[in-house]
Amino acid sequence: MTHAFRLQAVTCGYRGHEVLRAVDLDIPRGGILGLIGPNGAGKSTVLRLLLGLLDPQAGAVEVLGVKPRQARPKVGYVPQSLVLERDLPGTLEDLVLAGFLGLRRAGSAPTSQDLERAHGWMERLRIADLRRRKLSELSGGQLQLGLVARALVREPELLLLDEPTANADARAEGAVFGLLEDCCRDRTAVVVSHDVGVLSRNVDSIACVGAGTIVHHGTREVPQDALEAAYGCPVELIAHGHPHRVLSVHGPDCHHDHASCGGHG
Amino acid sequence: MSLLFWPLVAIVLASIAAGVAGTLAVSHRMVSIGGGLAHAAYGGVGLAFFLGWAPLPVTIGFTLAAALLMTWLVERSPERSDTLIGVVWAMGMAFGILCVDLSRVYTGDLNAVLFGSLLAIPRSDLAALAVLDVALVVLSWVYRRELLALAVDAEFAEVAGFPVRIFRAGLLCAVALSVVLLMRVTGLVLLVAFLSIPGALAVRWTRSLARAMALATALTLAFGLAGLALSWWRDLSPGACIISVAGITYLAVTLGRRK
Repeated sequence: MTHAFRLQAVTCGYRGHEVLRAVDLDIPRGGILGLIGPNGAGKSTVLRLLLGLLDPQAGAVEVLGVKPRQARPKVGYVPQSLVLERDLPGTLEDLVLAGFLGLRRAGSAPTSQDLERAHGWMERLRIADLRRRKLSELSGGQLQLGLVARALVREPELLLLDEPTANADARAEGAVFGLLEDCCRDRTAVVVSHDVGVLSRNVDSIACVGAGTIVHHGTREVPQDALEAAYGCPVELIAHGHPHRVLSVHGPDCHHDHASCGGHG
Repeated sequence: MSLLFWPLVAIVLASIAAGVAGTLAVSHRMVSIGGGLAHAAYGGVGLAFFLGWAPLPVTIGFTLAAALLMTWLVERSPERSDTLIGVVWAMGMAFGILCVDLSRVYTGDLNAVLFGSLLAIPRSDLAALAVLDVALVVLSWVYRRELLALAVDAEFAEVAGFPVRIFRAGLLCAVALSVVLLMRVTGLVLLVAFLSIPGALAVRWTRSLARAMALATALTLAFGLAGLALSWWRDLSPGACIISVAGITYLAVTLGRRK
C-alpha cells in the first residue's frame, strides 16, 4: 500500500450543486501536502470525502488502501474551528484526551500511557501549561493548537488539517508546521489553506483546487496559470526576495477573499 | 412532619434528575428539545385520558416516540431544527388537548400536569424517579468523558469512529424520561425552568461535567426550597415562586458578569 489516499474520477457536491467533477488525485505516503484554492472551490469537500462524511456521486475514494470510514481509526482530523457552547465545563486536557475517542472502549478512563502521550504532544505544541484551563478561557489560537494535539494523540497515519493556523500567530504557526515536519517523516499530512504564503513555506507539495477540478498538483511552486485557473481571474505575482509572493486583488468579477498569497518568489 | 416528608423526598429526587439532565441538556444545546418534549408529553397524558389507561406508561411511550421522531426529522429534513422542534412542541400539546376534549372526562387531574402535584404524587412515581436518578448518575459518571467530547465536537467524534447517533439517541431518551417523571413533580412550566437555569449556571462555575451536574443538583434544590419558603411566607403559587427565584438569580448572575 503506497498511497495515502486516492480519488478516482470523483464527482460530488451538495443538494444538486456539483463541487468536484471527475477529479483524480493520487497522494503517496509521507510528507505534507498543501491544498489551496479559493473559497467554495472544494478544499473542505476533499477533506469531507477523505473522512467519509460525504459520499461521492460518482467515482471512488480510497484512504490508506481502504474505504474512508474503515480508515477512520488511522486518520487524525483538525477542523477549521470549533463553535463552542459558551462555558462548557471542560479543560484543554479534556479536549486533547478526546483524541482517544473511538480507539478505547467507551467509558474507560485514560491510561497512564494515554495521559503521558497527551501531555507529550501538549509539551511539543507549547500548550502544556494551559492544560487545566477551561475551554472558554482559551484564545482561538490556543484552542487551535489543542485541536492539533487532539488529532496527534491518535498517532494517525494520515493527518487532515483544515486551516490549522487560521487563528494562530507566527509562533503558533511555527510550532504547528515544525511539528508536522518532524512527524511527517513516517506519516502523511494534508493541510487545507487559502493562504499560499503559509503553505509554500511549510509543505512538500501543493494541490490547487479550482473550477471543480485539480488545476495543479506537484511542487509547492504553483505556476501562475494554475493559480489563474483556480481563482478565475488574473494573478499578479510579486517576489520579495524571500519565499513569498502576493496576488493582487483583481477586477469586479473576482470575488475572492484575500490579496496576499504566496509561493516561491 | 409526615406531611412534609414525601414532598421533600420528591424535591430531592427531582433535583437530582433535573440537575443531571439539565446540565446535559444545556451542554448539548438540547434545552429547546427538552421543552418540546415536555409539551409533546402533554399529548401522551391526553392520550392516556382518552384511552382510560395509566398515565405514566402511556406518557413515557409517547414522549420517547416523540424524541425519536424529533431526532429523525432533524437529521433527515432540510428544515431548521428549531422549526421542527417548534412543530413537535405545538402538535404534542394540541394532540393532548384534543384527546382530553374527546374523552369528555373530569380533567381536574390535568392541572397537575401543567403545574405539578408535589403533595399528591404517587409513591410509585417517586420510586420510578429514584430509579431514574440512579441510572442518570451512574451512566453520566461512567460516560462523562464521552458526553463532554460529544458536546465539544460531535463531528470529530463521528470521524473518530465513535457511535455518535446511538449515543445521541440514548441522551435524548434520558432527557425524555427525565421530562416525563419530573413533570409529575414540577409541572410543565417549572420543568422547563429546571432544565435550563441550574444547568446554565453550573456550567459557568465548574471545569468538569460531573461537578457541573452536582452543582446543578444543589442549585435546583436551593431554588426549590427557597421558592417554597417564599410561597409559604407570602401565600403565593409555589411553582411561580420557584421560577422567580431561579430566574432572578440567573439574570443577576448574567447581568453582573463581565464579558
